[in-house]
Amino acid sequence: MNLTERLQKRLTEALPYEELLPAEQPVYVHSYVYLFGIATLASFILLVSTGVVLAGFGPQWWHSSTVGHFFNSLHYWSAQAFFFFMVLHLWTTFFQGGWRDGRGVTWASGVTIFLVSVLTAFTGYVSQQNFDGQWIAIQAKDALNSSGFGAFFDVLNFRQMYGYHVLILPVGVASIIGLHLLLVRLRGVVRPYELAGRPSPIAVGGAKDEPGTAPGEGRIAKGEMP
Amino acid sequence: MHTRYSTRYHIGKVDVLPRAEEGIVTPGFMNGPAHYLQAGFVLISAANLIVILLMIAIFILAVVLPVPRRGGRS
Repeated sequence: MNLTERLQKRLTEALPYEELLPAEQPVYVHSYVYLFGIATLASFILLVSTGVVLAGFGPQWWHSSTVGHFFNSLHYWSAQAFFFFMVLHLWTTFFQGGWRDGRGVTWASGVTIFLVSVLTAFTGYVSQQNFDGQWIAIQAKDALNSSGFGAFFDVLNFRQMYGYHVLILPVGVASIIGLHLLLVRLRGVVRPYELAGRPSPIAVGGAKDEPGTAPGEGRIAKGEMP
Repeated sequence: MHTRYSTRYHIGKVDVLPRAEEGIVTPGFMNGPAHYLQAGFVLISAANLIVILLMIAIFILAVVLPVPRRGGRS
């Protein structure tokens, strides 16, 4: 078996097709709170799309033309929506204990996305090329300089901040989002906490146990929602 | 000076945001300084408070509202 075949076998075992693109979900995935994650992803796609348009035309365009203003606003409100839904997703997974049952890396990757996104948003604010951006950069430089980060992260250097904002950090966020989604697919959605003295909501829902799964961890098909 | 806020876009005789006079900038209430609310040592902008309250409201609604089942039954 050559290297390619070994890699093929390894990937097929580690990333089964039916887990990556499942046609069914556990019975407890039947609440609006499970939509916050995908709403965050949708906002991110809109962010990247509008960001590409803004980068293509440049600051002069987004500050001085009607269409430029529109795309600038779309990019801004996409960022608001991204953080809005990301925090709601964070609350949901926190109260669900989303790190349980071997999902620690999934949780940690989500936390990392949040932190890198904050930095991405910050570099976006200082890249606006207006008085607001200058004000934020001048306020931030003292903190960064006093901590030593200012030596290689100069918020007054537009080109450096712009490079971080349109390439380095978005690629980082997108990569970790990819890892996060992959882990969610492979590990599945965490089971809800069981309430003391009450039967498991999974058992009540009538999920079919699958071979090799814990009781109540079975899946139901799309058309079988209870 | 065409609008109440137009002076904000001028430094001396230099029009630093020329399209502002054409009415394509954000509405007036978004161009002024942020409105802040204070209760003791807690200081928060009205905009941030509205967003936080909206998030809490949507979170509660998402938890409480049932997802409609197939056939329209809930």
